[in-house]
Amino acid sequence: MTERAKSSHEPGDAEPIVIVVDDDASMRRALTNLFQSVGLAVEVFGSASEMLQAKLPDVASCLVLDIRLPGLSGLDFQTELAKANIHIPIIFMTGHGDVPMTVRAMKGGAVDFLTKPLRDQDMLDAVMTAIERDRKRREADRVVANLQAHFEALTPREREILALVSTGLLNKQIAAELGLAEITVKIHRGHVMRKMGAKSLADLLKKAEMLGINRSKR
Amino acid sequence: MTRPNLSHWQTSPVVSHYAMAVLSVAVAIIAAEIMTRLLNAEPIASSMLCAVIFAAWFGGFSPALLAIALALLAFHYYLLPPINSFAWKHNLLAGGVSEVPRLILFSITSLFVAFMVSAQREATEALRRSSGDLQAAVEDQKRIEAALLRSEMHLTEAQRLSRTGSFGWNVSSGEIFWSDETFRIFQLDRAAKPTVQLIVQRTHPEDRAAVQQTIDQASIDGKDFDHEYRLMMPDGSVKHVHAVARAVRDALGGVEFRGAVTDVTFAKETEWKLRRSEAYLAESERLSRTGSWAWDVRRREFVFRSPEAHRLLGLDPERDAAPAQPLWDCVHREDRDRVIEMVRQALREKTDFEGDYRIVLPDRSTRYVHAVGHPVLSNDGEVTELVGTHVDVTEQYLAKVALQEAVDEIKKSEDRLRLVIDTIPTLVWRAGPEGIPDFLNQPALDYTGISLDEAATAWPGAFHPDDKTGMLRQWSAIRDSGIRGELEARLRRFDGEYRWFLFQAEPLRDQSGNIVKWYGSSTDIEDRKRAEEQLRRSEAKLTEAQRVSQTGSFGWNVSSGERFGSKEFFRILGYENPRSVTSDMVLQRVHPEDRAFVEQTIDRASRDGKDAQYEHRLLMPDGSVKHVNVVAHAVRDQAGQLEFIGAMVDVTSTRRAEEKLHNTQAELAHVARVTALGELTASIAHEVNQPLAAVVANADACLRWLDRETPDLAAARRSAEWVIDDASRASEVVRRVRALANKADIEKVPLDLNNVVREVIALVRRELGSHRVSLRMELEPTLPRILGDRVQLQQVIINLVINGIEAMQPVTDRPRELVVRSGQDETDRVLLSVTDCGVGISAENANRLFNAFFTTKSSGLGMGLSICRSIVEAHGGRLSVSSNEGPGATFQFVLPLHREDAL
Repeated sequence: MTERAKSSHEPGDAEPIVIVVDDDASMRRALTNLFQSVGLAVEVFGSASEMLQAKLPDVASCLVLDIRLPGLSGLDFQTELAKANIHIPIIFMTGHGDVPMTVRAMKGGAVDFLTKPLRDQDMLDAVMTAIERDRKRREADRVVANLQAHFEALTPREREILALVSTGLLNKQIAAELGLAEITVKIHRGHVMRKMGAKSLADLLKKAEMLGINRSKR
Repeated sequence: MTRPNLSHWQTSPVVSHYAMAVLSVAVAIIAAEIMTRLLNAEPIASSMLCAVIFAAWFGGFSPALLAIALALLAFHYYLLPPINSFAWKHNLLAGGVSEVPRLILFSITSLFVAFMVSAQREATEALRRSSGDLQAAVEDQKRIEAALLRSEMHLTEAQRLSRTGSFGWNVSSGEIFWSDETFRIFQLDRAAKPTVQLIVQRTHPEDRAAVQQTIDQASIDGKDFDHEYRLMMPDGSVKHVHAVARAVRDALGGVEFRGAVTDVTFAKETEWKLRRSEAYLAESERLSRTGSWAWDVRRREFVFRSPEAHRLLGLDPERDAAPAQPLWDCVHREDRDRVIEMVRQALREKTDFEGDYRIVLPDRSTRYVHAVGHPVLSNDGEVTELVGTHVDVTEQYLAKVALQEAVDEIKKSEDRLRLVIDTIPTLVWRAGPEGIPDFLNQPALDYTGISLDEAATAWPGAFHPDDKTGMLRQWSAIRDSGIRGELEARLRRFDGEYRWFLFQAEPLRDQSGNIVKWYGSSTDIEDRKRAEEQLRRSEAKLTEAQRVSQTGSFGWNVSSGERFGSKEFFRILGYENPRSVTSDMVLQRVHPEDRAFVEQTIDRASRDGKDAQYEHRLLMPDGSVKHVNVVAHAVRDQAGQLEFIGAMVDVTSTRRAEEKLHNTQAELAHVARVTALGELTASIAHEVNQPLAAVVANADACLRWLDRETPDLAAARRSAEWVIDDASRASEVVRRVRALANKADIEKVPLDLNNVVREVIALVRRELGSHRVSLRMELEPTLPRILGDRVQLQQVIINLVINGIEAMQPVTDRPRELVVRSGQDETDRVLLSVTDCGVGISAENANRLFNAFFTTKSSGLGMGLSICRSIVEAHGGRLSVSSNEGPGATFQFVLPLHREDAL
């Protein structure tokens, strides 16, 4: 309780959460118990559709998924999530696994593939790995999102100039390109630097790259 | 003739004597002449004297005188002048007086000499004659003696030939003389001394008394006797002898019998034979009703009539004499003149006669007589007798009359026949030797619509144009062959319709064997033809059907071994047009692995005489394999012999398809079973695994709650509670699974296990057949009922049977036989066993055999026997396995009796 409270009080993100989808109630209860015993927050669902309908907190999380599920099977659910661009790390559980199933799961980006009954350490290690991976991913996502927000604040002319700058053109060239005076280009460029929070040209170029801005993309 | 001959012989010596005299004188003259010329001597006188002596000696005195006279003449010629001239000498005395004395002397001398010589000659002659007489007398004596001897020999010979011996018997002295023949007759040795005793002894025992009496009587009376008796010879033969004796009294007054005894055996036998032959003749006359007779023409009466001749006239041959006249009276009044004329003519012309006439017997009945007569002529050519026969031909006459009536009747029936021929519904015809019909009966005319007149030319036109050529050729061939023949052709009816006819022709030959006519009939065989055609078509269809259905038919007479097979049958077996079928031909084609099975099946079928149906493979020479299904139906022929009629169907394609289907089904079934089991296990595993995984997770969590720096006992406790909770749940799952397995409650009813077996066998018969397994059922007929679930027990039996079949799969060197037995064990439980002769079970496997998931089969699940045992045990029974003494294993289970039955 204390740990959980403490972690939830950690700065930055809220404490991570483990989402369990298993059709067996006792298994859900046992996993909840296990994760709570190491201070992890747990959300449990009986089926994939239940989980999709639920409102999940935007925190680092991982999905512990039983392969055998009523309705949509675990593997199929993985595919569906990937299609929906939801990049939550998945740990699969199965009563009896086989190689093709494992291969498919791992190709689909699964973190681990565990057989029941589970060794608790394996599960916890897999969960920790998954949460860490999710946290990093979320971090990266957030940076990009900031830049994107800054980029959104740019005027169209400024976006044009940023794109041309990112291709490595000189101010003079950009002016020629856009039919503007060089001085105008310089002013716009200054605005861009400021709005994008770039400390140097190199920094600006890096951010542009992170945003995926280049000439071709334009 | 005799006479002249005789006179010649009397004359001759006299003439010769005189001739001799002349000749002597002539010789003397010639001699004298020769001597006179040569010696100039004159020996005429001496030579003349010699001539006289010669004449006297040979001729006698008279010729001598002649010689003398001639000599004197010669002297006259020679000595009287003219000398040597025959002229008359007148001067006889003139010139030759000197010569006279000489002449006289000569004359006297000559006379004397002649006399002497002739006298001498006479004496000599007389002596010679008397000597001849004596000789003759002696010869006569000899001749008489020879004649006597001959006569004795003749007598002896005569006695021998006549078999008559002579004897003499002096009664007083008792001396008996026998000739040689007598001895021979009595067959006694010549040395024997004949006595009365000996005679009696030789006599046939039956005649002895009579002979003794005759001899005694003769010796007393002294009278002639004559008797016949039999002799008994030592070799047992019998002789008849006839003894005749005459009594002669000698000078002393004693009686002496002289007699002859004749062997009359031959005569007796001849007499007996004659008598018998007469009897035969009489009998044959009686049988042939022929009487013989002889008629004396001069005396005008019958001199002989045989008994039958009497009988013919209704007379008693013993009693009635043969009157001369009655024959004429007997002859029927109407025939009498004719008969008399016939006989007269025969007498007149001296020819045989022959004729028939009737006679009327005393009882007024009429007999028909056939008489034949022959005239007997005397030396002077006159007819003395008529001999002939009468034959009673009454029967023949009556038969002839009847024959005549019959002929009349035939004549009438011929008319009727004609009617028949014209009315029978068959076409009848007659043709000449050249084959052209000259007669057609009415139906034939009606049918063809041609008239008799135009038949000779129009008949070939009545035949179907397609048949005409062939018909004419066949008809010609029949005529050439000269024997009965037949042909078939279509004949046009008057209305133009053609119908098939069978033409049969039979030749009629004259006495020399030449065919004079052909008689024929034509029968309408249209219906038969149609039936034949139909039959032919139906046979063709059958053959076609057999070919299409690949079904060959065959027959097999078990006792005679006779077999036949249809064309298709041979085609299936791969033989090209064989003439016959043998058992080897079939067995040779049977697949080596099936041969034992087929032979066994055939043996059993032929032994039991029951229908058989079996399937087997054929291995063709090219190495291909065919499957055939054989159905044989056992029948008994009229003789009660077993015969199989059956069909062999080539089911290769069917079998292949079936096998394919079966394999697919089996595979499918197996896959399904495996899948089902896999799913079942997965399901069960999941069901159990789930709570177990929860238990593990909760237990881990519990530990972690406790391992905290500040152990969270409440959470740990809660975790432990959940562990218990989940473990209970797992246990519940297991319980539920077991409950699921036990869910199918068995429904036990009283059952006859034999029936269950039969139902099962019906289900697995196909399996048995396809694996060439022969099944033997040894079911105890009086089996008590058991209480059980029919379906489950069926499953058990099926399982055991299939196991047996599969166990025998590798077996190729012996018949695959599966034995299903039912019965009761020593504790009266019902027992059922399934025995195979397959690979058997090793000791190590025997223990594990009933464990679940144990299998020796590559494709098995290992559940079958485990389930079987569960089922049997659920029925309160026991399933066990044992190895056979031979190859294979026996599975058996025992089940308790149904209580009500047991009670």
